[in-house]
Amino acid sequence: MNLKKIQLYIGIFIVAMLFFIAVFGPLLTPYDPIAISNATFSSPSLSHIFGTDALGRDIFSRVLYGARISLLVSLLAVFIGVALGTFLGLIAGFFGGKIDKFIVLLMDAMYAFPGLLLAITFTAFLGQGIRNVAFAIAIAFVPTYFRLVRNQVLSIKNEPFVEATKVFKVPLWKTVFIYVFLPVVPTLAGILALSIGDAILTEAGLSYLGLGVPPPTPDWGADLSTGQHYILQDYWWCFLFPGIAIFLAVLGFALIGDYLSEEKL
Amino acid sequence: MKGLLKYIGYRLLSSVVMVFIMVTLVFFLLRVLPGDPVQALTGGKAPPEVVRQLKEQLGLNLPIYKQYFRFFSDIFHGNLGNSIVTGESVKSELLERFPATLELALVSVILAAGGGIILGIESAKREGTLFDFIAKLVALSFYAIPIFFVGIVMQYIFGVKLGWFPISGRIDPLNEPDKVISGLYLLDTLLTRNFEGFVDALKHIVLPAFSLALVLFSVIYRITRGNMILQLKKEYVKAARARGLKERKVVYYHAFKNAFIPIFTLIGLQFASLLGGAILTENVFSWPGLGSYLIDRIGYRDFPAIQGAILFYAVIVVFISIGIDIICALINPKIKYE
Repeated sequence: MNLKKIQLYIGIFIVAMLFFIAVFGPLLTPYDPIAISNATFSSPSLSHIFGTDALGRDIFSRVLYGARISLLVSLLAVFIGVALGTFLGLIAGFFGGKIDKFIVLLMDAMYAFPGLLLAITFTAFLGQGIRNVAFAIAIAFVPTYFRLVRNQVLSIKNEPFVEATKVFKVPLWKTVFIYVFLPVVPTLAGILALSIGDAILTEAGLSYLGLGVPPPTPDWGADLSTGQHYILQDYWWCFLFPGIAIFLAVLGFALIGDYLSEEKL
Repeated sequence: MKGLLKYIGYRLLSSVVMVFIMVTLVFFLLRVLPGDPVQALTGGKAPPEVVRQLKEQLGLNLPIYKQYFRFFSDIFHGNLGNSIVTGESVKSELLERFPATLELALVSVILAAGGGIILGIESAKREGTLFDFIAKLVALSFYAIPIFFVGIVMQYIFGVKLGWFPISGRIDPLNEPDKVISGLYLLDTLLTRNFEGFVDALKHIVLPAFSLALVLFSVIYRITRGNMILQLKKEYVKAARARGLKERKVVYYHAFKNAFIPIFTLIGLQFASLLGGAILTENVFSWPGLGSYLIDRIGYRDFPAIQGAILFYAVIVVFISIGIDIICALINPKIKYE
């Protein structure tokens, strides 16, 4: 087994764990992640393996439940990004001309702008529900998928086999599925994994800045932010565990994405 | 040359579009969505008389399209309005904070480029070995670590535990440069021969700059490695080796010279994400730059300040990306622009 494969397997293992925790988290801990108790700032012990925070909440439970928000928001964000990007890419590619030029200009303009800043701009005003945060993160992904789909459309548009589908009255969605989507799947897979990692990072960043899903929902970024308030008091467990959780989640997707995008070449 | 001009023309156009979209977006988002600045200012408890007066003063009573045109014409006149919180001109507040962000970004780019390029080259030389694999894993891990988490961990270890570096701010108030020359404290303190101030400023920038550099480091590492691997397989490298040139010269001079353009372009492109990352880093370290200003003012719903800050960011991104394009074209006339 070569090193590359090990990289892939580590990535798959981490991502599988992440999904497992997100689904079965409640079965793995006896504590309610938002239940306040008198045991504030207790250091990691057998009863609270990650310790407790300023409100006496069990950090282990919060980390487990945090996987839900993180995964939910980032998967939703990537889905919205792919859907919007694909939609615009199909329009630009098939219509061409002025419409194409206009959309390309729009996408180029958006592509140059820092994704986090776009997301901050949206969440600051849209408010902080899960859907809003996901949408805000998704915006930054649109240009990437737009380019992928548009280029594919352009490359097949004038091929004789596509002309033939018109003659045989093949429904448009079938043509699009077979000649636009299937060929980009290998490229898409790598980009998707990297996008999900990016989305997890952005989501955590937004929550860290106080612009993510509102408290007391367990959220890694937000917990990291509150944990930071107590570094002078030496309560290291308050920031360490949520931070490691974000790191591992992103790493898992990055390892897979990196492998997929290199193998394709 | 004509192609280049046309290309730069397009880039300028798309930049104007970008700035336009951002401003419009922010303008409408701010006004259509719930929560308004007067409410934020008065805590929602002011008598209606006062509320009306304030709204009039801020131009919020005008129809929305008039506010919009007023805003755009103000921008063209270089006027970003006054902050609702401080009453100061937004433009001067932004200009005052910009050098802090610039200083942090520059130091981080230098750190990231230095480390990323050297490790990338060494990794490429040893492609497929354990060294290469570990270097790659380390770079991927740096990419996956949230920038603010690194910041907090560094604060805890080097600030709280070891006490080597201060964990917030830009300089001790006592050491602040007597006069502002460039606004970059590292430079200003040196120019005024305030060496104590220089050391203090340096100590303050170490932690934020390193944590911000990490993300960019991994990107630069990856592109350097990829390009160097391509170059090292080329015939001219074989030829140079055959002529008996020192390996170091072959790699660091001949091959790297050819791998440099894409790396440089990438550093330019990544500058935008660096600015994004700087928003987080500035907030972790209470670094008084644009990013902490933006987040601070979002908390107050300070319309003019938020609009101004986002516009300012957009303009910086535009200038940097066009600047990089032009430099690339000048150092490599072979690039074709479509």
